[in-house]
Amino acid sequence: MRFYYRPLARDELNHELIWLAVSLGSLALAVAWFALRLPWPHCLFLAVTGHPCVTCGATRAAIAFFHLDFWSAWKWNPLVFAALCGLSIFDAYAFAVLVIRAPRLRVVQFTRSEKSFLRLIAVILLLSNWIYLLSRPRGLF
Amino acid sequence: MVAPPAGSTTAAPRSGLPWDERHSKGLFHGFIETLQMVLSKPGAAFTVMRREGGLGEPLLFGLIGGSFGFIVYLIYNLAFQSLGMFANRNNPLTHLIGAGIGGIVLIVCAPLFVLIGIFIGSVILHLCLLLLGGAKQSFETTFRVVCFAGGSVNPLLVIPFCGGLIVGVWKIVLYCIGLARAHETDTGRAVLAVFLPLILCCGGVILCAMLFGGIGAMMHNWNP
Repeated sequence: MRFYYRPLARDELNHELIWLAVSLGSLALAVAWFALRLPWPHCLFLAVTGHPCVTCGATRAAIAFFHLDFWSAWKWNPLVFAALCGLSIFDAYAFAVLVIRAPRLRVVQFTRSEKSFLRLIAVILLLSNWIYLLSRPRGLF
Repeated sequence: MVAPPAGSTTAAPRSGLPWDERHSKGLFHGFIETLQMVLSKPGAAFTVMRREGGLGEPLLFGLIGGSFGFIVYLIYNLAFQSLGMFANRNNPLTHLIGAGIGGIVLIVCAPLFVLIGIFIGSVILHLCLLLLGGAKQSFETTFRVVCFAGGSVNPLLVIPFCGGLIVGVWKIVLYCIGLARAHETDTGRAVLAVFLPLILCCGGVILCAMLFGGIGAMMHNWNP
């Protein structure tokens, strides 16, 4: 795995611009959705089994996160909290490189073992998050 | 340090979908021909689909088909609710006002919802493919599959009552075929990548359990 800083190539996708726009657009739509009091998403898994799925609590974690109540966001769903932290860091980076026209960070040349390691980490994170959510008191979600 | 060239994937040239020739065929004919090809011959369509060349062209296709279907679906919902079908019996006045304003805002914002949905759907599918080791091509390839599959199948939301179910099932089939052909990965991985978000959240486990339960029950009752 190698990290590069390089200017954006001519035919290369401008990932920073695309994902900054998508994340801010999603946030704006979500705010409009709740401002209009449209229905909250409901989990079918929770409704049928009474147990939370891997993403249960994501909406409440996101609301707590954007109200800067980080401890509540972590308690609702640690994986979603971590994802929102990562997204915030990426958005700050993307905004900075777009404004100052700085070279872009690219991660390339993953070896087979590195890919396997990252997959394993992803699976462990998903499973540990689910175990945490299942250990929370019943009826919380 | 010298960086490798962007989008450095070695792939055989592909002839492209009729949508890529819309400048000569016309926008409407290009759209309809692509839609017909993707719906009737998805294997051939995703085998000839170009894997790179920018996000703009597939995004336009996905946006046209997706917005059309979504707006028709919302109009159906509003119409049925105004006729009293699927309405809230507890508080009909609040429901009518809320549904009316919310519905109109949704119709106006429909292209924006479709746009965001395409990007988020693509990134989730690509992450699932990466997790399963099935992503042989770049993110752009997954994005193109999502755009052409969604843009082709979403206009079927014009079918009243069962349009949503038909679109849901057909879209899953198109994603499976599209990802397998475009990424040149095995179909099992593509199918698992499409079902992984469903399995991870929102009742996919139950869905699979019911599916296998149903198959089991059928086999149990099957007397040749």
